[in-house]
Amino acid sequence: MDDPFILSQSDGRPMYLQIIEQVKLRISVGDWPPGFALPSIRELAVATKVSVITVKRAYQELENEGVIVTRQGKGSFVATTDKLGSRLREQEMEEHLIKAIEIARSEGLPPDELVRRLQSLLQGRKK
Amino acid sequence: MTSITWQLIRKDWDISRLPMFGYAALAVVALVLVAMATGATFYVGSTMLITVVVVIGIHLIFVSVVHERGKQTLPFIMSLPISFMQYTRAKMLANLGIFGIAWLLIAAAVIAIFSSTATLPNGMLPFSLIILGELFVANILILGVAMVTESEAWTIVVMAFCNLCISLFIYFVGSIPEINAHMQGPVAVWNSTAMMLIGLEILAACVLIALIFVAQARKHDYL
Amino acid sequence: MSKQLAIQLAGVSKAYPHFRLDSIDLQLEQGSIMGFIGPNGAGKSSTLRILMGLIRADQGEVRVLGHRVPDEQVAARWDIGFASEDMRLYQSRTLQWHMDFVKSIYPGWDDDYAAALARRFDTRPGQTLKGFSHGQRVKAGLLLVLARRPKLLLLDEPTTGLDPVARKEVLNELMDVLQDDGRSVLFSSHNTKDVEQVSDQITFIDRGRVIASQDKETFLERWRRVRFSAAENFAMPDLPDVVETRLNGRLGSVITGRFDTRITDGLQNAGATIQGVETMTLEEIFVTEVEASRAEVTGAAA
Repeated sequence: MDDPFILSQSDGRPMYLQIIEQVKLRISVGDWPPGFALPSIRELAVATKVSVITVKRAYQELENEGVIVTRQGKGSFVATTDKLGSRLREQEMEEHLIKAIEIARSEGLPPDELVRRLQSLLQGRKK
Repeated sequence: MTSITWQLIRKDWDISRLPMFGYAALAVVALVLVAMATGATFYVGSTMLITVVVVIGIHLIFVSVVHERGKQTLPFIMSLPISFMQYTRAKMLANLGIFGIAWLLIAAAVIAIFSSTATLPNGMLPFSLIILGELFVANILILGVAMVTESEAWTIVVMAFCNLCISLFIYFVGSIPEINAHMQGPVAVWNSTAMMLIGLEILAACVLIALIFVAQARKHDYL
Repeated sequence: MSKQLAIQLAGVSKAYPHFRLDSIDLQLEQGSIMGFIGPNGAGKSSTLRILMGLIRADQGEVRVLGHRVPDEQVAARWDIGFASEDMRLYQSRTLQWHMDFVKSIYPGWDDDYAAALARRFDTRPGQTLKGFSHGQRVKAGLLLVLARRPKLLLLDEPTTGLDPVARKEVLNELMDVLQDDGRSVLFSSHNTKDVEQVSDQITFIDRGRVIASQDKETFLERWRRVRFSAAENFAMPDLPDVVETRLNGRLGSVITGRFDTRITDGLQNAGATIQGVETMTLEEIFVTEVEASRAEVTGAAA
């Protein structure tokens, strides 16, 4: 099996988070449609040269988030939830917005001001 | 003998094979010189023959035992599925086997030369075989020291000591009246003194081999 | 149901004139890779040699692939592939000669795999070992071990002194071994970077003692550095399981090997503002563990 992921050594985040992100990316771009059979943990570990335990952890988190389902003895599959791909992209956007809110809060920026800035950015984009 | 033991012996032979053919050529030259049977060639030939026998033994010991440790191929060999006693047995068989065959060939050639050369007195035969026997025993001693002490320095010390002893031994055996009296005679006389010396050599060889195995069996750390 | 153990060491000790392996406990599950990390002279080689039966422990129990060692070391060694840094091959012989020799002993030798490995490792079977570079020698040693597909690989510093390309080749092959979940790998290194990505289990050893042994994810999960800024007249609270505390001016940090909210709550209650909770690299964790362990030993002796 070919390595399906692009993992970075210089990315400061733990390897399992990178794997989670890459799986979600595959799903959101449509490479891995709902019901798609994911590679087994061991296969993916060998292909990505990342330890079995790290891949196992990534799969567990993905399962907890409802992104994939694991059937005993059959392996893991992309969840058949409606519009999982776009939901994942929305989720990612939300994470970025939350980060922006946190920075605004730590800088003492009032919520109104944050909304105003977002609006002006949106206006700028439209032109 | 298990097949691994056999493979180990084959490997040691493979590694020391080439020089052995060189020594064989030297041995032939030495035997020719002995067979020429003039005073000077006999002396040079027999000295050369003794040297070749000694060097064959030492070469084998160094290549198969001392260098195995010094050049760190021992971890490779000991990673194989063999016990340390199997390893010891393989080394003893390789060394004494290859050396033994060379020794037997040379001893047989010596007997043949004495029997077929009219100018060489057959009375020299027992004396010659006793000397060859001593070389065999000394070889086992050096091999044992190399295996048991695992020290190159000790091996060299004992080797030098054994080589010094050769001329002393020749002098000692040659000066025993029961041996000396028949040396220039036309027939080989296997009297009780000659037989006793040969018997002692066989006994010494057996005791040394047994001691080597006992000493090796007491070891627990092999690297 | 617990998985079968490939390696099991319990209370293994061995005394040398100037060194002592002290009550080593170690377990490796079948199907996983363990990175065995320690500074030079920490006891990594001695531990591996004990597992091979090459040296005998003074105390303790050793089981390898279900065999008692040293009593059943020969049976165990049929299924172990051992390569160590101090292992040399026969300089005057070719790699092919070595391959033939190993093949003559192990029935499981795989010619095709051996040829493929020789290509991937960039080593020529027809060349004598004398002409091999250090990296090629190490890879040749690994080839001889891998091509017979042993159930357990015991590798002593297999990546030491290798250039980045060769190191990657070696680590890739180690991962390939794991395709078969009945096979296991224990490899030692003094470099955490070599071990970090591929290992399932991490064991730290220092001065003859195992100072930590855990699965890697738990390791990385538990260790955190918490950065904070302190209020005036801040007094460092008593926090559980903190191994390192720093306070310089009003900025400080604590490192813990058992992170949970008790740490952040404790700091906040003492009047500190949390600036960030960071994960740590295995190298940082290793150095911290070693320093903490040495301080403890020194403290106990004083």
